[in-house]
Amino acid sequence: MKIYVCVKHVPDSAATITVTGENTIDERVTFIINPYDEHALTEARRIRDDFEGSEVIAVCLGKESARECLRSAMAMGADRSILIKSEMRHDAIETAGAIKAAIDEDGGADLIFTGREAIDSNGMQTMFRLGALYGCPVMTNVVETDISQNRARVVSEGDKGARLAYELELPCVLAAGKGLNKPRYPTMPDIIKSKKKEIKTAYIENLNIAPSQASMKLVKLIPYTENRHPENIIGDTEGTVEKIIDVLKNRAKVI
Amino acid sequence: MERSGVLIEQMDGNVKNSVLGVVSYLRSFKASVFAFVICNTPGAFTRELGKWGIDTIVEIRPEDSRDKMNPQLISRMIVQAMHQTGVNHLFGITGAEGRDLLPRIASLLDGSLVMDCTRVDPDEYTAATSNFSGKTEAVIEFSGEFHVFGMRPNYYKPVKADITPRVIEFIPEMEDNTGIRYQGVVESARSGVDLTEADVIISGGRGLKNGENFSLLFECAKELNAAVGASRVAVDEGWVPYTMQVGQTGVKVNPKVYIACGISGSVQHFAGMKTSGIIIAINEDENAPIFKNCDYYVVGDLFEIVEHLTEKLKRMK
Repeated sequence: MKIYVCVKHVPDSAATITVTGENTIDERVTFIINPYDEHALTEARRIRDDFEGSEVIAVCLGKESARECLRSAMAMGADRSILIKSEMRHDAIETAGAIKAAIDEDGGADLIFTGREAIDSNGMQTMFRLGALYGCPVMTNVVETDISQNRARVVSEGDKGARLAYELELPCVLAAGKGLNKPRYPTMPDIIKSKKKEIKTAYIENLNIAPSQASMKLVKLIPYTENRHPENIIGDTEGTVEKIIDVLKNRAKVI
Repeated sequence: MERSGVLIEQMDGNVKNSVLGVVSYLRSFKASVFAFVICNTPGAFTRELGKWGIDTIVEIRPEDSRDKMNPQLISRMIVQAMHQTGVNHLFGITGAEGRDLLPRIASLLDGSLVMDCTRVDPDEYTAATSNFSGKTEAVIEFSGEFHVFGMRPNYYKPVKADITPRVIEFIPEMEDNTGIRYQGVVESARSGVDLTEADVIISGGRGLKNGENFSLLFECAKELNAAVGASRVAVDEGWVPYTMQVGQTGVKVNPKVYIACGISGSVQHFAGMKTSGIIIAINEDENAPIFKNCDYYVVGDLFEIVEHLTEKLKRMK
Protein backbone atom coordinates (compact mmCIF):
# COMPACT_ATOMS: atom_id res chain seq x y z
CA MET A 1 0.00 0.00 0.00
CA LYS A 2 1.34 3.42 -0.96
CA ILE A 3 0.39 6.00 1.60
CA TYR A 4 1.12 9.67 0.96
CA VAL A 5 1.05 12.18 3.78
CA CYS A 6 0.78 15.85 2.86
CA VAL A 7 2.67 17.99 5.34
CA LYS A 8 3.04 21.74 5.65
CA HIS A 9 5.92 23.75 7.05
CA VAL A 10 4.30 26.41 9.23
CA PRO A 11 5.47 29.01 11.77
CA ASP A 12 5.20 27.75 15.34
CA SER A 13 1.94 28.99 16.83
CA ALA A 14 3.93 30.57 19.67
CA ALA A 15 6.16 32.54 17.26
CA THR A 16 5.89 36.30 17.06
CA ILE A 17 4.52 37.16 13.65
CA THR A 18 5.81 40.42 12.18
CA VAL A 19 4.15 41.64 9.02
CA THR A 20 6.90 42.97 6.76
CA GLY A 21 5.16 44.03 3.57
CA GLU A 22 1.67 44.08 2.18
CA ASN A 23 1.25 40.34 2.47
CA THR A 24 4.51 38.88 3.83
CA ILE A 25 5.88 38.09 7.26
CA ASP A 26 9.36 37.95 8.71
CA GLU A 27 10.14 34.26 8.30
CA ARG A 28 13.06 34.25 10.72
CA VAL A 29 10.97 32.39 13.27
CA THR A 30 10.75 28.74 14.29
CA PHE A 31 8.93 26.60 11.76
CA ILE A 32 7.33 23.25 12.60
CA ILE A 33 5.32 20.50 10.94
CA ASN A 34 1.70 21.55 11.01
CA PRO A 35 0.37 19.88 14.22
CA TYR A 36 -2.53 18.05 12.54
CA ASP A 37 -0.10 16.56 10.01
CA GLU A 38 1.71 14.86 12.91
CA HIS A 39 -1.47 12.92 13.63
CA ALA A 40 -1.65 12.03 9.94
CA LEU A 41 1.96 10.79 9.91
CA THR A 42 1.48 8.74 13.05
CA GLU A 43 -1.60 7.06 11.61
CA ALA A 44 0.03 6.42 8.23
CA ARG A 45 2.98 4.75 9.91
CA ARG A 46 0.68 2.54 11.97
CA ILE A 47 -1.23 1.47 8.85
CA ARG A 48 1.99 0.81 6.95
CA ASP A 49 3.07 -1.63 9.64
CA ASP A 50 -0.17 -3.60 9.10
CA PHE A 51 0.46 -4.14 5.40
CA GLU A 52 3.63 -5.79 4.26
CA GLY A 53 5.49 -4.00 1.51
CA SER A 54 3.79 -0.69 2.24
CA GLU A 55 5.44 2.65 2.05
CA VAL A 56 4.77 6.07 3.60
CA ILE A 57 5.81 9.07 1.52
CA ALA A 58 5.66 12.60 2.92
CA VAL A 59 4.89 15.35 0.40
CA CYS A 60 5.41 19.03 0.99
CA LEU A 61 4.92 22.06 -1.22
CA GLY A 62 7.27 24.75 -0.02
CA LYS A 63 10.53 26.59 -0.16
CA GLU A 64 13.97 25.05 0.19
CA SER A 65 13.63 25.50 3.98
CA ALA A 66 10.70 23.04 3.99
CA ARG A 67 13.28 20.23 3.72
CA GLU A 68 13.50 20.51 7.50
CA CYS A 69 9.83 19.68 7.73
CA LEU A 70 10.31 16.59 5.56
CA ARG A 71 13.28 15.50 7.70
CA SER A 72 11.02 15.66 10.75
CA ALA A 73 8.29 13.79 8.87
CA MET A 74 10.78 11.03 8.02
CA ALA A 75 11.99 10.94 11.62
CA MET A 76 8.35 10.43 12.58
CA GLY A 77 8.08 7.46 10.26
CA ALA A 78 7.82 8.41 6.60
CA ASP A 79 10.08 6.17 4.48
CA ARG A 80 10.96 8.87 1.98
CA SER A 81 9.64 12.21 0.84
CA ILE A 82 9.00 14.60 -2.00
CA LEU A 83 9.64 18.33 -1.84
CA ILE A 84 7.66 20.25 -4.43
CA LYS A 85 9.84 23.28 -4.58
CA SER A 86 8.38 26.72 -5.06
CA GLU A 87 9.36 30.12 -3.78
CA MET A 88 5.83 31.42 -4.29
CA ARG A 89 2.74 31.27 -2.15
CA HIS A 90 0.01 29.02 -3.56
CA ASP A 91 -3.67 28.83 -2.77
CA ALA A 92 -5.35 25.53 -1.87
CA ILE A 93 -6.42 24.87 -5.45
CA GLU A 94 -2.89 25.18 -6.82
CA THR A 95 -1.49 23.29 -3.85
CA ALA A 96 -3.82 20.36 -4.43
CA GLY A 97 -2.99 20.45 -8.15
CA ALA A 98 0.73 20.37 -7.43
CA ILE A 99 0.44 17.56 -4.88
CA LYS A 100 -1.70 15.48 -7.23
CA ALA A 101 0.76 15.98 -10.09
CA ALA A 102 3.73 15.05 -7.88
CA ILE A 103 1.99 11.92 -6.56
CA ASP A 104 0.98 10.88 -10.08
CA GLU A 105 4.57 11.26 -11.21
CA ASP A 106 5.68 9.16 -8.25
CA GLY A 107 3.36 6.32 -9.19
CA GLY A 108 -0.02 7.02 -7.60
CA ALA A 109 -1.59 6.57 -4.16
CA ASP A 110 -3.76 4.05 -2.34
CA LEU A 111 -4.31 6.37 0.57
CA ILE A 112 -3.63 10.08 1.07
CA PHE A 113 -3.51 11.74 4.46
CA THR A 114 -3.59 15.44 5.30
CA GLY A 115 -4.24 17.37 8.48
CA ARG A 116 -7.73 18.79 8.84
CA GLU A 117 -6.30 22.32 8.51
CA ALA A 118 -3.00 24.16 8.56
CA ILE A 119 -2.42 26.51 11.46
CA ASP A 120 -0.92 29.30 9.35
CA SER A 121 -3.44 29.97 6.59
CA ASN A 122 -6.38 27.91 7.97
CA GLY A 123 -7.82 27.32 4.51
CA MET A 124 -9.51 24.02 5.57
CA GLN A 125 -9.93 22.78 2.01
CA THR A 126 -6.84 21.27 0.39
CA MET A 127 -8.02 17.71 1.16
CA PHE A 128 -11.31 18.33 -0.62
CA ARG A 129 -9.60 19.93 -3.61
CA LEU A 130 -7.37 16.85 -3.82
CA GLY A 131 -10.37 14.53 -3.61
CA ALA A 132 -12.11 16.46 -6.39
CA LEU A 133 -9.03 16.16 -8.63
CA TYR A 134 -8.85 12.42 -8.03
CA GLY A 135 -12.61 11.97 -8.10
CA CYS A 136 -12.18 9.95 -4.92
CA PRO A 137 -13.90 10.07 -1.53
CA VAL A 138 -12.71 12.45 1.21
CA MET A 139 -13.42 12.50 4.91
CA THR A 140 -12.36 15.27 7.25
CA ASN A 141 -11.78 15.43 10.99
CA VAL A 142 -11.08 11.71 11.00
CA VAL A 143 -10.58 10.36 14.53
CA GLU A 144 -10.46 6.61 13.86
CA THR A 145 -9.36 4.47 10.93
CA ASP A 146 -9.60 0.81 10.05
CA ILE A 147 -8.03 0.15 6.67
CA SER A 148 -8.27 -2.98 4.57
CA GLN A 149 -7.04 -3.77 1.07
CA ASN A 150 -9.73 -1.83 -0.80
CA ARG A 151 -11.71 0.18 1.70
CA ALA A 152 -11.30 2.47 4.69
CA ARG A 153 -13.66 2.42 7.63
CA VAL A 154 -13.36 5.74 9.39
CA VAL A 155 -15.01 7.70 12.15
CA SER A 156 -15.39 11.43 11.62
CA GLU A 157 -16.18 13.86 14.38
CA GLY A 158 -18.96 16.40 13.94
CA ASP A 159 -20.80 18.99 16.01
CA LYS A 160 -20.70 18.62 19.78
CA GLY A 161 -18.42 15.61 19.62
CA ALA A 162 -20.80 13.40 17.60
CA ARG A 163 -18.90 10.50 16.01
CA LEU A 164 -20.15 9.17 12.69
CA ALA A 165 -18.88 6.09 10.89
CA TYR A 166 -18.33 5.92 7.13
CA GLU A 167 -16.91 3.40 4.73
CA LEU A 168 -14.81 4.81 1.88
CA GLU A 169 -13.53 3.11 -1.22
CA LEU A 170 -9.79 3.34 -1.84
CA PRO A 171 -8.04 5.40 -2.94
CA CYS A 172 -9.33 8.09 -0.63
CA VAL A 173 -8.21 11.23 1.17
CA LEU A 174 -8.38 11.31 4.96
CA ALA A 175 -7.87 14.55 6.92
CA ALA A 176 -6.64 13.88 10.44
CA GLY A 177 -8.39 15.42 13.43
CA LYS A 178 -6.85 15.87 16.83
CA GLY A 179 -8.57 12.82 18.29
CA LEU A 180 -7.01 10.39 15.81
CA ASN A 181 -4.03 9.37 17.92
CA LYS A 182 -1.23 10.65 20.09
CA PRO A 183 1.55 11.78 17.76
CA ARG A 184 4.53 9.49 17.94
CA TYR A 185 7.53 11.72 18.42
CA PRO A 186 10.88 10.49 17.11
CA THR A 187 13.62 8.97 19.21
CA MET A 188 17.32 9.71 18.66
CA PRO A 189 17.80 6.61 16.44
CA ASP A 190 14.75 7.69 14.39
CA ILE A 191 16.35 11.07 13.80
CA ILE A 192 19.69 9.55 12.80
CA LYS A 193 18.01 7.08 10.45
CA SER A 194 15.93 9.84 8.87
CA LYS A 195 19.08 11.61 7.69
CA LYS A 196 19.75 8.73 5.30
CA LYS A 197 16.26 8.75 3.82
CA GLU A 198 15.62 10.21 0.40
CA ILE A 199 14.07 13.61 -0.33
CA LYS A 200 13.13 13.77 -3.99
CA THR A 201 12.80 17.29 -5.38
CA ALA A 202 10.09 18.19 -7.85
CA TYR A 203 9.82 21.66 -9.36
CA ILE A 204 6.37 23.14 -9.51
CA GLU A 205 6.95 24.66 -12.96
CA ASN A 206 7.65 21.19 -14.40
CA LEU A 207 4.51 19.58 -13.02
CA ASN A 208 1.40 18.98 -15.04
CA ILE A 209 -1.10 20.87 -12.87
CA ALA A 210 -4.83 20.90 -13.68
CA PRO A 211 -6.03 24.45 -14.40
CA SER A 212 -8.85 26.03 -12.40
CA GLN A 213 -10.99 29.07 -13.10
CA ALA A 214 -11.02 30.01 -9.42
CA SER A 215 -8.31 31.39 -7.16
CA MET A 216 -7.82 32.79 -3.69
CA LYS A 217 -4.97 35.25 -3.35
CA LEU A 218 -3.66 36.68 -0.10
CA VAL A 219 -3.41 40.41 -0.79
CA LYS A 220 -2.99 41.90 2.64
CA LEU A 221 -1.95 40.94 6.14
CA ILE A 222 -2.94 43.22 8.98
CA PRO A 223 -1.48 42.65 12.46
CA TYR A 224 -4.21 42.02 14.98
CA THR A 225 -4.21 44.69 17.64
CA GLU A 226 -5.60 44.10 21.07
CA ASN A 227 -7.64 47.03 22.28
CA ARG A 228 -9.09 45.76 25.50
CA HIS A 229 -8.70 47.82 28.64
CA PRO A 230 -8.55 45.36 31.51
CA GLU A 231 -10.40 46.43 34.63
CA ASN A 232 -9.42 44.81 37.90
CA ILE A 233 -12.37 43.68 39.98
CA ILE A 234 -11.30 44.12 43.58
CA GLY A 235 -13.20 43.20 46.69
CA ASP A 236 -14.47 40.25 48.69
CA THR A 237 -16.17 37.26 47.04
CA GLU A 238 -19.62 38.80 47.44
CA GLY A 239 -18.60 42.09 45.85
CA THR A 240 -16.71 40.36 43.06
CA VAL A 241 -19.63 38.14 42.17
CA GLU A 242 -22.02 41.10 42.24
CA LYS A 243 -19.79 42.94 39.79
CA ILE A 244 -19.60 39.89 37.47
CA ILE A 245 -23.39 39.58 37.53
CA ASP A 246 -23.69 43.29 36.79
CA VAL A 247 -21.45 42.83 33.71
CA LEU A 248 -23.42 39.78 32.54
CA LYS A 249 -26.73 41.51 33.05
CA ASN A 250 -26.25 45.13 32.15
CA ARG A 251 -23.29 45.23 29.81
CA ALA A 252 -23.42 41.89 28.00
CA LYS A 253 -27.17 41.41 28.49
CA VAL A 254 -26.88 37.64 28.57
CA ILE A 255 -28.90 37.02 31.74
CA MET B 1 -24.18 39.61 -5.56
CA GLU B 2 -27.85 39.98 -6.35
CA ARG B 3 -28.67 36.48 -5.22
CA SER B 4 -26.93 34.94 -2.26
CA GLY B 5 -27.39 31.47 -0.98
CA VAL B 6 -27.24 30.38 2.63
CA LEU B 7 -26.65 26.82 3.68
CA ILE B 8 -29.14 26.15 6.47
CA GLU B 9 -27.79 24.09 9.35
CA GLN B 10 -29.84 22.79 12.21
CA MET B 11 -29.09 21.72 15.72
CA ASP B 12 -31.51 19.96 18.04
CA GLY B 13 -34.35 20.65 15.59
CA ASN B 14 -33.81 24.41 15.24
CA VAL B 15 -31.98 26.48 12.67
CA LYS B 16 -28.63 27.43 14.17
CA ASN B 17 -28.55 30.96 15.48
CA SER B 18 -25.20 31.61 13.85
CA VAL B 19 -26.74 30.77 10.45
CA LEU B 20 -29.45 33.36 11.05
CA GLY B 21 -26.67 35.85 11.84
CA VAL B 22 -25.26 35.18 8.38
CA VAL B 23 -28.70 35.84 6.87
CA SER B 24 -28.84 39.23 8.58
CA TYR B 25 -25.31 39.99 7.36
CA LEU B 26 -26.37 39.23 3.76
CA ARG B 27 -29.42 41.44 4.08
CA SER B 28 -27.07 44.32 4.87
CA PHE B 29 -25.83 43.95 1.26
CA LYS B 30 -29.39 44.21 -0.02
CA ALA B 31 -28.94 40.73 -1.45
CA SER B 32 -31.88 38.54 -2.27
CA VAL B 33 -31.34 35.67 0.15
CA PHE B 34 -31.93 32.07 -0.91
CA ALA B 35 -31.98 29.51 1.88
CA PHE B 36 -30.93 26.00 0.86
CA VAL B 37 -32.40 23.39 3.12
CA ILE B 38 -32.59 19.63 2.83
CA CYS B 39 -36.10 18.82 3.93
CA ASN B 40 -38.70 16.19 3.17
CA THR B 41 -41.60 17.95 4.88
CA PRO B 42 -42.91 20.74 2.64
CA GLY B 43 -43.10 24.08 4.43
CA ALA B 44 -41.27 22.85 7.52
CA PHE B 45 -39.00 25.89 7.61
CA THR B 46 -41.23 28.57 6.14
CA ARG B 47 -42.41 30.09 9.41
CA GLU B 48 -39.09 30.08 11.17
CA LEU B 49 -37.01 31.33 8.26
CA GLY B 50 -39.61 33.95 7.34
CA LYS B 51 -38.90 35.78 10.59
CA TRP B 52 -35.34 36.53 9.56
CA GLY B 53 -35.73 37.97 6.09
CA ILE B 54 -35.21 35.02 3.79
CA ASP B 55 -36.64 35.81 0.35
CA THR B 56 -36.66 32.32 -1.10
CA ILE B 57 -36.51 28.92 0.53
CA VAL B 58 -35.19 26.17 -1.71
CA GLU B 59 -36.48 22.93 -0.25
CA ILE B 60 -34.26 20.16 -1.49
CA ARG B 61 -36.04 16.82 -1.36
CA PRO B 62 -33.84 13.82 -1.89
CA GLU B 63 -35.85 10.86 -3.13
CA ASP B 64 -33.86 8.51 -0.98
CA SER B 65 -33.64 9.89 2.55
CA ARG B 66 -30.47 7.88 3.19
CA ASP B 67 -28.70 10.28 0.84
CA LYS B 68 -28.97 12.91 3.58
CA MET B 69 -26.33 11.06 5.53
CA ASN B 70 -23.72 11.24 2.80
CA PRO B 71 -21.94 14.63 2.90
CA GLN B 72 -20.76 14.31 -0.70
CA LEU B 73 -24.33 13.71 -1.92
CA ILE B 74 -25.65 16.62 0.17
CA SER B 75 -23.02 18.81 -1.45
CA ARG B 76 -24.08 17.65 -4.88
CA MET B 77 -27.72 18.43 -4.07
CA ILE B 78 -26.77 21.95 -3.00
CA VAL B 79 -24.71 22.48 -6.15
CA GLN B 80 -27.58 21.31 -8.37
CA ALA B 81 -29.99 23.58 -6.52
CA MET B 82 -27.60 26.54 -6.90
CA HIS B 83 -27.42 25.97 -10.65
CA GLN B 84 -31.19 25.63 -10.83
CA THR B 85 -31.79 28.93 -9.01
CA GLY B 86 -28.92 30.93 -10.52
CA VAL B 87 -27.15 31.44 -7.20
CA ASN B 88 -23.38 31.92 -7.55
CA HIS B 89 -22.49 32.95 -3.99
CA LEU B 90 -23.04 30.56 -1.11
CA PHE B 91 -22.56 31.40 2.55
CA GLY B 92 -22.42 29.06 5.51
CA ILE B 93 -20.75 28.92 8.89
CA THR B 94 -17.38 27.52 9.84
CA GLY B 95 -18.63 24.88 12.31
CA ALA B 96 -18.16 21.13 12.06
CA GLU B 97 -20.86 20.73 9.40
CA GLY B 98 -19.75 23.72 7.33
CA ARG B 99 -16.13 22.57 7.48
CA ASP B 100 -17.29 19.33 5.88
CA LEU B 101 -19.83 20.61 3.35
CA LEU B 102 -18.60 24.02 2.15
CA PRO B 103 -15.23 22.80 0.80
CA ARG B 104 -16.98 19.88 -0.94
CA ILE B 105 -19.41 22.33 -2.55
CA ALA B 106 -16.63 24.75 -3.59
CA SER B 107 -14.64 21.86 -5.08
CA LEU B 108 -17.64 20.58 -7.05
CA LEU B 109 -18.24 24.10 -8.39
CA ASP B 110 -14.54 24.67 -9.04
CA GLY B 111 -15.19 27.90 -7.17
CA SER B 112 -13.28 29.94 -4.63
CA LEU B 113 -13.66 29.31 -0.92
CA VAL B 114 -12.65 31.36 2.11
CA MET B 115 -13.36 29.89 5.54
CA ASP B 116 -13.69 31.60 8.93
CA CYS B 117 -14.55 34.94 7.31
CA THR B 118 -15.35 37.99 9.35
CA ARG B 119 -16.10 40.20 6.34
CA VAL B 120 -16.87 39.77 2.67
CA ASP B 121 -16.73 42.61 0.18
CA PRO B 122 -18.57 41.38 -2.92
CA ASP B 123 -17.72 44.51 -4.96
CA GLU B 124 -14.00 44.32 -4.28
CA TYR B 125 -13.99 40.52 -4.46
CA THR B 126 -12.24 40.28 -1.11
CA ALA B 127 -12.91 38.43 2.13
CA ALA B 128 -11.23 38.86 5.52
CA THR B 129 -10.21 35.88 7.59
CA SER B 130 -7.49 35.27 10.16
CA ASN B 131 -4.03 33.79 9.65
CA PHE B 132 -1.23 32.69 11.97
CA SER B 133 -3.23 31.73 15.06
CA GLY B 134 -5.28 34.89 14.85
CA LYS B 135 -2.20 37.10 15.01
CA THR B 136 -3.02 38.71 11.68
CA GLU B 137 -6.10 39.41 9.66
CA ALA B 138 -5.72 38.17 6.10
CA VAL B 139 -7.49 39.82 3.17
CA ILE B 140 -8.10 37.29 0.42
CA GLU B 141 -8.94 38.29 -3.14
CA PHE B 142 -11.12 35.65 -4.78
CA SER B 143 -11.85 35.07 -8.43
CA GLY B 144 -13.86 32.70 -10.55
CA GLU B 145 -17.49 32.14 -11.35
CA PHE B 146 -18.66 30.64 -8.06
CA HIS B 147 -17.80 31.73 -4.55
CA VAL B 148 -18.28 29.99 -1.24
CA PHE B 149 -17.74 31.55 2.18
CA GLY B 150 -17.67 29.99 5.62
CA MET B 151 -18.42 32.82 8.03
CA ARG B 152 -17.08 32.81 11.57
CA PRO B 153 -19.90 31.46 13.75
CA ASN B 154 -21.66 33.99 15.98
CA TYR B 155 -19.76 36.93 14.51
CA TYR B 156 -22.95 38.51 13.20
CA LYS B 157 -26.06 38.60 15.32
CA PRO B 158 -29.45 37.75 13.84
CA VAL B 159 -31.78 40.71 13.28
CA LYS B 160 -35.49 40.04 12.82
CA ALA B 161 -37.03 40.90 9.46
CA ASP B 162 -40.50 39.61 8.74
CA ILE B 163 -41.23 38.64 5.18
CA THR B 164 -43.13 35.82 3.56
CA PRO B 165 -40.62 33.69 1.74
CA ARG B 166 -41.26 32.15 -1.62
CA VAL B 167 -40.80 28.39 -1.48
CA ILE B 168 -39.23 26.43 -4.31
CA GLU B 169 -39.22 22.67 -4.31
CA PHE B 170 -36.22 20.98 -5.82
CA ILE B 171 -35.76 17.28 -6.44
CA PRO B 172 -32.11 16.50 -7.06
CA GLU B 173 -30.91 13.85 -9.45
CA MET B 174 -28.82 11.47 -7.48
CA GLU B 175 -26.61 8.63 -8.40
CA ASP B 176 -24.50 7.30 -5.58
CA ASN B 177 -21.08 6.88 -7.03
CA THR B 178 -19.35 8.86 -4.30
CA GLY B 179 -17.49 5.88 -2.84
CA ILE B 180 -18.77 6.91 0.60
CA ARG B 181 -21.20 4.81 2.67
CA TYR B 182 -22.64 6.10 5.88
CA GLN B 183 -22.46 3.42 8.57
CA GLY B 184 -24.16 5.05 11.52
CA VAL B 185 -23.59 6.95 14.74
CA VAL B 186 -20.79 5.63 16.91
CA GLU B 187 -21.31 8.21 19.60
CA SER B 188 -24.09 10.79 19.72
CA ALA B 189 -23.53 14.50 20.21
CA ARG B 190 -23.03 15.77 23.74
CA SER B 191 -26.04 17.39 25.31
CA GLY B 192 -25.86 21.02 26.37
CA VAL B 193 -24.93 24.15 24.53
CA ASP B 194 -22.56 23.93 21.56
CA LEU B 195 -19.33 25.89 22.00
CA THR B 196 -19.47 27.53 18.58
CA GLU B 197 -23.09 28.58 19.06
CA ALA B 198 -22.86 29.70 22.69
CA ASP B 199 -23.50 33.26 23.84
CA VAL B 200 -21.66 32.55 27.07
CA ILE B 201 -18.73 30.21 27.62
CA ILE B 202 -17.13 29.31 30.89
CA SER B 203 -13.75 27.64 30.44
CA GLY B 204 -11.32 25.97 32.78
CA GLY B 205 -7.58 25.48 32.66
CA ARG B 206 -4.72 24.33 34.85
CA GLY B 207 -6.25 26.13 37.82
CA LEU B 208 -9.11 23.60 37.91
CA LYS B 209 -6.57 21.05 39.20
CA ASN B 210 -8.52 17.95 38.13
CA GLY B 211 -11.39 16.66 36.04
CA GLU B 212 -13.90 16.37 38.89
CA ASN B 213 -13.64 20.09 39.57
CA PHE B 214 -15.05 20.80 36.12
CA SER B 215 -18.46 19.91 37.56
CA LEU B 216 -18.28 23.32 39.20
CA LEU B 217 -18.14 24.93 35.75
CA PHE B 218 -20.91 22.70 34.40
CA GLU B 219 -23.20 23.74 37.25
CA CYS B 220 -22.51 27.40 36.67
CA ALA B 221 -22.97 26.89 32.91
CA LYS B 222 -26.42 25.45 33.53
CA GLU B 223 -27.50 28.66 35.26
CA LEU B 224 -26.00 30.83 32.51
CA ASN B 225 -27.17 28.68 29.59
CA ALA B 226 -23.48 28.59 28.77
CA ALA B 227 -21.18 26.06 27.13
CA VAL B 228 -18.15 24.72 28.98
CA GLY B 229 -14.74 24.96 27.35
CA ALA B 230 -11.22 24.08 28.37
CA SER B 231 -7.63 25.03 27.75
CA ARG B 232 -5.18 22.65 26.16
CA VAL B 233 -3.62 21.82 29.54
CA ALA B 234 -6.94 20.57 30.90
CA VAL B 235 -7.37 18.41 27.81
CA ASP B 236 -3.81 17.07 27.73
CA GLU B 237 -4.09 16.18 31.41
CA GLY B 238 -7.12 14.09 30.47
CA TRP B 239 -9.48 16.07 32.70
CA VAL B 240 -11.99 16.70 29.91
CA PRO B 241 -12.38 15.44 26.31
CA TYR B 242 -10.43 17.30 23.62
CA THR B 243 -13.68 18.26 21.91
CA MET B 244 -14.02 20.88 24.67
CA GLN B 245 -10.69 22.50 23.85
CA VAL B 246 -10.84 26.15 22.87
CA GLY B 247 -7.83 27.43 20.95
CA GLN B 248 -5.55 27.08 17.99
CA THR B 249 -5.92 23.31 17.71
CA GLY B 250 -9.36 23.24 19.25
CA VAL B 251 -12.63 25.02 18.67
CA LYS B 252 -12.68 28.70 17.71
CA VAL B 253 -15.42 30.49 19.56
CA ASN B 254 -17.16 33.83 19.49
CA PRO B 255 -19.39 34.22 22.52
CA LYS B 256 -20.71 37.48 23.92
CA VAL B 257 -18.99 36.61 27.19
CA TYR B 258 -16.01 34.35 27.77
CA ILE B 259 -15.23 33.51 31.39
CA ALA B 260 -11.73 32.04 31.73
CA CYS B 261 -11.18 30.23 35.02
CA GLY B 262 -7.64 29.28 35.98
CA ILE B 263 -6.43 29.82 32.41
CA SER B 264 -3.12 31.65 32.04
CA GLY B 265 -3.90 32.71 28.47
CA SER B 266 -1.34 31.32 26.04
CA VAL B 267 -1.15 32.66 22.49
CA GLN B 268 -2.69 29.38 21.31
CA HIS B 269 -5.64 29.75 23.65
CA PHE B 270 -6.21 33.34 22.52
CA ALA B 271 -6.26 32.15 18.92
CA GLY B 272 -9.52 30.39 19.74
CA MET B 273 -11.33 33.06 21.77
CA LYS B 274 -9.83 36.48 21.16
CA THR B 275 -12.84 37.77 19.24
CA SER B 276 -15.16 37.15 22.21
CA GLY B 277 -17.28 40.15 23.18
CA ILE B 278 -16.28 40.45 26.82
CA ILE B 279 -13.52 38.40 28.43
CA ILE B 280 -13.64 37.88 32.19
CA ALA B 281 -10.58 36.19 33.68
CA ILE B 282 -10.34 34.62 37.11
CA ASN B 283 -6.92 33.45 38.22
CA GLU B 284 -4.93 33.10 41.41
CA ASP B 285 -1.75 34.27 39.73
CA GLU B 286 -1.69 38.03 39.48
CA ASN B 287 0.90 37.75 36.68
CA ALA B 288 -1.31 35.59 34.43
CA PRO B 289 -0.85 36.89 30.84
CA ILE B 290 -4.60 36.76 30.31
CA PHE B 291 -5.00 39.73 32.67
CA LYS B 292 -3.32 41.97 30.10
CA ASN B 293 -5.77 40.92 27.40
CA CYS B 294 -9.21 40.84 28.93
CA ASP B 295 -11.99 43.21 29.93
CA TYR B 296 -12.35 42.25 33.58
CA TYR B 297 -10.07 40.28 35.82
CA VAL B 298 -10.21 38.90 39.30
CA VAL B 299 -7.13 37.83 41.24
CA GLY B 300 -8.55 35.21 43.50
CA ASP B 301 -9.77 31.72 44.23
CA LEU B 302 -11.80 30.56 41.25
CA PHE B 303 -13.52 27.79 43.24
CA GLU B 304 -14.92 30.25 45.73
CA ILE B 305 -15.96 32.77 43.11
CA VAL B 306 -17.57 30.33 40.67
CA GLU B 307 -19.46 28.52 43.42
CA HIS B 308 -20.75 31.78 44.78
CA LEU B 309 -21.68 32.97 41.30
CA THR B 310 -23.67 29.78 40.68
CA GLU B 311 -25.51 30.16 44.00
CA LYS B 312 -26.36 33.75 43.27
CA LEU B 313 -27.59 32.98 39.77
CA LYS B 314 -29.81 30.21 41.17
CA ARG B 315 -31.34 32.62 43.66
CA MET B 316 -32.00 35.17 40.95
CA LYS B 317 -34.38 32.78 39.16
